[in-house]
Amino acid sequence: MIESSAQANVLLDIADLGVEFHTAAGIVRAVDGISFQVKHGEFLAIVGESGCGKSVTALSVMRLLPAKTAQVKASRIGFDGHDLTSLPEADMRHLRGQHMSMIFQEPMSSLNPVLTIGDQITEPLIEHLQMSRELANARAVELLKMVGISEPERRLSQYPHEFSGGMRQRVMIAIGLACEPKLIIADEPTTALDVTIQAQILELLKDISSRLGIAIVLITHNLGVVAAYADTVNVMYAARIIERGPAVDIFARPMHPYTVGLMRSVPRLDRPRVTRLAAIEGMPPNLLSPPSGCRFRDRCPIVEPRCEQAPPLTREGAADAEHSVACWRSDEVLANAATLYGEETAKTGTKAAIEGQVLLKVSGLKQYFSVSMRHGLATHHVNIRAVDDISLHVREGETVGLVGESGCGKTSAGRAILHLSVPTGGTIEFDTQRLDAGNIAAIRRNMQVIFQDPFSSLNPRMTVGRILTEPLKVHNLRPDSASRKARVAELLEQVGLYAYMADRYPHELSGGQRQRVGIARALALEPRMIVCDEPVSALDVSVQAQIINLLDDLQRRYGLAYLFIAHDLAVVRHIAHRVIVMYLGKIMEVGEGDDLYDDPKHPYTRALLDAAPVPDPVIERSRQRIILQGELPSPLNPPSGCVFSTRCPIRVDRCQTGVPPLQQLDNGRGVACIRVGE
Amino acid sequence: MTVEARAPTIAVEAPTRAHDQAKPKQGNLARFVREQPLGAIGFVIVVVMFISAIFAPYVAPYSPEAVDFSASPALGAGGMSAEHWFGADAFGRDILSRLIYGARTALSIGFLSALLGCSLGALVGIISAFAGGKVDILIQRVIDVMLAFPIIILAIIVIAIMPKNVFLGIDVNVIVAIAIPFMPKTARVIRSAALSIVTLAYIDAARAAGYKPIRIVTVHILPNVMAPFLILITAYIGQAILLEASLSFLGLGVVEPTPSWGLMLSGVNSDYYLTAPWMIIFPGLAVSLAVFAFNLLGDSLRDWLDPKLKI
Amino acid sequence: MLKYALYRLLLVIPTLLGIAVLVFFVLRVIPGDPVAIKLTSESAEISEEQIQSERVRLGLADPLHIQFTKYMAGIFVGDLGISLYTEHPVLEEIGGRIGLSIELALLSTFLSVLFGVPLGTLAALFRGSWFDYVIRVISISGLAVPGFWLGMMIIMALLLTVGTLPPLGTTSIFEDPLTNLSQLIWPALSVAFRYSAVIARMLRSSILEVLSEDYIRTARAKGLKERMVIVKHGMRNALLPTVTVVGLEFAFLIGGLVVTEQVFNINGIGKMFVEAVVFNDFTMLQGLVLVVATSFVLVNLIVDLLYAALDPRIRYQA
Repeated sequence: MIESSAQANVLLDIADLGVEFHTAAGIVRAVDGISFQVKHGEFLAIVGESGCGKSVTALSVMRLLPAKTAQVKASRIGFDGHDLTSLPEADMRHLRGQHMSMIFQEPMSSLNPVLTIGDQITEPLIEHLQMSRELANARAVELLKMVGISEPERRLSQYPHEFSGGMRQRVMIAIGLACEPKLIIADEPTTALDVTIQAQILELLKDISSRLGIAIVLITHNLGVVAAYADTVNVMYAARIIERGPAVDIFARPMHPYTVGLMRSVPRLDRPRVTRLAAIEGMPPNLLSPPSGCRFRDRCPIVEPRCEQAPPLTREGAADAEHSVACWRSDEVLANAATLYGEETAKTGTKAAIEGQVLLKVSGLKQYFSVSMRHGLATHHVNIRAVDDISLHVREGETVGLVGESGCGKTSAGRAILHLSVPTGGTIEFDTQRLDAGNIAAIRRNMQVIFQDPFSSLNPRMTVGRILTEPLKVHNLRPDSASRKARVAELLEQVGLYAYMADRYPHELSGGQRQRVGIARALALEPRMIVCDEPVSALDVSVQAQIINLLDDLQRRYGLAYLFIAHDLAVVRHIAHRVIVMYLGKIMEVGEGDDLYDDPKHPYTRALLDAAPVPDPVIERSRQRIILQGELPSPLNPPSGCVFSTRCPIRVDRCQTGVPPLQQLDNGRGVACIRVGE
Repeated sequence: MTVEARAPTIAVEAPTRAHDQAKPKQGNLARFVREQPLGAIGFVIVVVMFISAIFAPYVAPYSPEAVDFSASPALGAGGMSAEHWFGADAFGRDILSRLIYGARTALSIGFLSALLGCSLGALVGIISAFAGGKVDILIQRVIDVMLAFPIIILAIIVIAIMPKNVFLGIDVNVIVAIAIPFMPKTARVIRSAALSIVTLAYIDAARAAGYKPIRIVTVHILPNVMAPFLILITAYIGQAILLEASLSFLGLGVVEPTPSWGLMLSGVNSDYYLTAPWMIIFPGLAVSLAVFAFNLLGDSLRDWLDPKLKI
Repeated sequence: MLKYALYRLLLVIPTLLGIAVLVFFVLRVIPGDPVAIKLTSESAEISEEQIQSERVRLGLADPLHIQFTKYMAGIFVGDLGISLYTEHPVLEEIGGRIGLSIELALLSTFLSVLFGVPLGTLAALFRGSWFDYVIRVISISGLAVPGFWLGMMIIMALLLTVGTLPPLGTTSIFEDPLTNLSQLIWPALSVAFRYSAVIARMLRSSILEVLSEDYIRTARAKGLKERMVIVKHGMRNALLPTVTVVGLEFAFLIGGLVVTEQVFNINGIGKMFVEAVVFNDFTMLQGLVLVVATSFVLVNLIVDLLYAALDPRIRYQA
């Protein structure tokens, strides 16, 4: 237990908090004896993967857990002089929303759809501060201005469905700020938002915190965000805190194998590319029956017999008074962080450009969707230009990354290339054969796909074995059932699963395992190219690295080509030979490997890279970032001329007169901006 | 479980205990009974009814048509007694026996019409979902019109226009009349289930793997539509039994001498309300019990298979 | 909002036309000749010429397309033909008796809401308690018990307690409201038992669903009183789908009270349906079907507009 010398400075003081859920399957200890403090005005980040207990911790501080199923026990939960463990509910209610407030992850569903925004913002003001309606409305306008929403007076009478996701999150922050709280808890507030919007929201939170002296507890799984904004970090794993300390320290000198694993399993934009990501094996333990001793030992690369005893959270040395870690071998971890997960993970090197035969050639691809809109009594049809004239090529054995935010058209492009939707225009050539409805069936074997959502990509009524046998049967790849069975076992092994899993149903597997089955299914047809549509976005950080490494290995072994569609720039940089940046259906920039990341030429690419935080506090604090203003334009009404012009920091009038062509520069670089090279 | 540290070539996921213990959800009767006790009760009642209906000649004490005026309430007799546990009707026929034989009518008509109506409806729903475009819109419009009528009115209309047809002792026109009102709702539910499945990723994967449409429909879509289908059928058997009773009560359903609970209730002279209440109470209880049991079963089936389904 | 109302109103017209056309063709499928059946049932000796002249008189001898034109034209001027049985204009006959059915439907719906809404709400708020359990069992039985049998049991109960049958026959509400209500209260109750069960179940699951939504968590996080969270944030959202269900039930009841009207001897249009089938009154059946379908569509329209007025997401659709 930490005894802070400046007790008066402590706002939130939690000692030995435990939360048990009584479920049909048994008792789950979602939080198991954690203690930490938050000072006034401090920015604390709680980091961990799904199921580690970070959200439950926040909800138990706010006492928002359902009393029937959740049992909360703690030696102390002290907030601003109150003891929350024994406070009557009526008094707790007064604290909630007034002195401590919470912001949640899903902006789309966190606001009541049938009440106006003004109504929802003024509620806490009227309830806690007994303001009159006029005063409350005036304050609401003030709050909306503070969170950066334009025309606040008009907005008060609007409904949530008239706002975008980013704006709704700003409204949530306004609601949280209303009564000038001392603490705001933000539970993954930006996970559902695009990276440029994410940056806006986080900057806002940080700004509020420092200006108004509000303490912030940010719950997240994104290390970059933590590095950019947090003062202190708690790293949680399997319901326990396993490392804690000032952000700068944690990132510079991580001392727990899990922390090291997390940091080294995420591709980074600020360091040279590693040849192999550190992948933490296995999965987080089942909290219905957690392992005894150190909970990380089943996955730890340096486990030893001593680890059967759970290591306590201890301070490291006098100089590190603030940095604590729960590991017997923390000194060794510190010394060997770079190679803890294998020698390979320390080596760096860029991906060499691929020469060779062009496998896929796309020219002038267009994918328009017709939507009928009603205006009064007439209906007319509007074309959404999801993909608007893009050209690309993929060589044998090459990975081409297609990157962009939501709505940029990357997924639609992937689907059009696979002929899952019929393109509106343009040509697609595979192996020099022009694709059309006639020959697509024959070509299908060569071009396979992996999807984003592990839950909906497998038929829930078929066993894994059946799912993998089906392509073998339909395409007659093995003559009889015995050889098919053998091939299925082979495929499972190749993707890192066990042969007995063939008898399992998808709902019995974890997300990562399901994704592997999806990869095995794609491999079954022995394709030459695989379109990967956001294959790791829905997975936990530690599992992402496993899948990325797997894809890399398979490419090396079989010479596969990948069209890798994603929104995460760092992941794309790690895995791709060449990168294409898209925005609103058009290509903004094309480049080889590190070249594009080291020297981005298009203002959008630069903005994307600026918005993505890197897991290094020193760099983050000193960086000059250009935060992109404004919202993504509606695809129903794209801007004329350059589609990026409405948000571009270097736009001039000429930009709106015509669509800029893709200029070809040296080294395979292409930029669609008239101001480059001036 | 491997625990030693190694630099893996491909990271293998070691199985954890939870996944080893998970049992497949399908086909586990014992689990159903444990998790859905109400449904189990419904199931038991249904089974008992089925068995007594099938073995009616062995279970019922009398023939349903055995007339015995000496036991008629018109002559002051016919009360509940050792000879007639549930009393006798105006013709002296044993009510318990007529109830048991009536179960045959109720269950057979109920089951067959629900099966017919739901199957046709599901077929229409799937066709509508996949034909898309104008065909879909047309079918939806017709369904809208059909849904504009109360179920009983639709049934009466069909009775009015269908010729009477008794095939193998089963009243075909009654079955069709009861089946038709169930078609539109079923078509709607199955259509939206099919449409939502079509957008799922595994369908795209099947298309990308080059499977023919017929295979995608039969192997990937139909099995996943089975759950709502089963739930609908179970729910509608209860409604079908009610509808049959109502139609027979009105004289528009089965006619004498076919035993039917609804028929037993029709034409009961108002005198008998006080002198022979058993003539009214028991047939109604029989209907209520049957529908109750099927409703319990249907509700539990839905909670177990697909709690989000809105019928 | 006005634009939306206009748009929905215009949509109704093709639906009504479609119904009229469908009814015309479906009823022409009737096997046998309604005219011949009717005449031969009245007197055994009837000649072919008499049957034919009767057909001509009733307009049933014309070729199909002429019949159709006359039929559609007739609809627009309110002429639905002559009843084969009573020899009076169909619309007149229906008009005389539909008031009673509408009143019974209104009363039944009112009672259903009166019982169903509180029961459903309480069952949801006290979920898992014995109270919830009891209400759920009652709801399931409400759906299982045949309405007409319940009516008969009510009559029996009245006979046992008060000694007289419930007033049968029908007084108009405008002449003598009290007698009228005393006549209709019993059938309305027997119907309300079933429909309050439907409403209670629907409302219970709607409330439970709403209470698990994210915005309820937000409301609690704001520190609002629990009562306000449930009523202002929860109920408003949960009642929306209930409005639709209640409206639909009312729409169905207008023609759907066939058996109830039979049991309580109420001269509404439900009873007319049975009579029309029994007496092979083909034109009456046609007219009745048209009227029931039309009233359903109109009630539906009103319900839709009401829903749009309450749910801002629908109102402001682009």
